[in-house]
Amino acid sequence: MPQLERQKRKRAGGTNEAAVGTQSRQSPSSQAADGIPTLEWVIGAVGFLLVASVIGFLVYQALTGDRQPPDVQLNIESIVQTTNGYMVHVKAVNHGGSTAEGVVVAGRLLEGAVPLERSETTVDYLPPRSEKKIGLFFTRDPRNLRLELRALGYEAP
Amino acid sequence: MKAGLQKHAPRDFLIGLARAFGGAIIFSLPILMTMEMWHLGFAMDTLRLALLLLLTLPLLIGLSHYIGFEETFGFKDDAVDAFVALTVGFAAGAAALGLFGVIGPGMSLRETAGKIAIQAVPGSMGAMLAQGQLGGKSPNDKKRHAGYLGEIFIMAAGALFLAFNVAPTEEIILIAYQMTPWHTIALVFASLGVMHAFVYALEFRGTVPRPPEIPFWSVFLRFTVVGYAVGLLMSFYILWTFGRIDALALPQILSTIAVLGFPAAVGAAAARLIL
Repeated sequence: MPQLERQKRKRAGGTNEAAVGTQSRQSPSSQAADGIPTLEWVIGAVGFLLVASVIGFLVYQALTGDRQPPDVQLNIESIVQTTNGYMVHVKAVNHGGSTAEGVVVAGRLLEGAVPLERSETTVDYLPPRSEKKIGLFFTRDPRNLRLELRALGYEAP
Repeated sequence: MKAGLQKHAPRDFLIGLARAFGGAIIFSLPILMTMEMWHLGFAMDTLRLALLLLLTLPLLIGLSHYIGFEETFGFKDDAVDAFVALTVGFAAGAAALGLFGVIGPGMSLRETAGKIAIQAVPGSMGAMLAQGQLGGKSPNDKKRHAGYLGEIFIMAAGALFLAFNVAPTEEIILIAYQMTPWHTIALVFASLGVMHAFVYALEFRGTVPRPPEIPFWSVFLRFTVVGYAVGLLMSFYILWTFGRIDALALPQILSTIAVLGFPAAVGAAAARLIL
């Protein structure tokens, strides 16, 4: 027997398994004229709204979203002392319209114009309008020196 | 009919337990051997992992209600079986990861526990499914009649399982970034189509025929669209749990969810056929 049919009968005929297969065609108030319970239509409508809004948003993005190249901004969040030196917490934000893969972020410590130390790390993925937290290690205290941060390059995924 | 765990012969229970162990291994093997999954075990947010384990319990209780490694009668039985499945999931995960050398001495308790705990989720689902698919009797004999909400639950479980298997991999993120918005839209429609075809058109065993008096769009809306929506919600939950969409902008979150929504949709449809 088709499953939908069984289900309908079960709901129409009662709440236990014994009612399955009987030909009773009662119409409780929770059931629409076509024999499908109102609950199923309500959940169906919620599901439809969810899927439709996802599709709607995606279409909107496809039509209006920008595909500008990545634009990486680096901000120092904090500097903490570690066992072997110092760590600089950096927040990388991509203000561009496309994803940057393998972004190399380099930090340089300078005393006046003399570079003393250099550290770098790689961010796997930096999607548009999104941020990633990274850390750079140094042996000297960056708080007493000049710290230069720079994104060196990326790859398009 | 047998009634309840306590009235079983111990031998039956041990066979059921061994079968559950086998199910746990079969269903979680791909993910036991996924490197990202080991990392997640210790790197993911502890509270999110705890919440995941907590939510696994009602999932297992529900699965036990519809299928499961013992014929169950009532909530208490289902709850006991859920805990047994979870225990088997933990044991199978610990045994496999121990054999692979993924866990061992010199690792912190947090690392070891995290690696095992995250594997216990698919493992315990596998343990629970073991009877449904590997049991001695035909699964159809024991298939409990699922109402509409039951069907939604089964679709959610299927979506969760398949999404869980691929969500930890790097590829999900990479695919989402490689796709243009138009690819994503096409993928959404493809997921809906595949889902509907799986359940209603391809005539797999367990295919649900559509009664002729009910129009196509009615079944499509109440089952396929709702199932896909459930799949998207499961994808979102899994991605959030694994911390894969933290600090992402909305368009990227949606496209990642849509990418994971594809296996979730297939899992939901397959679950309706299998369970």
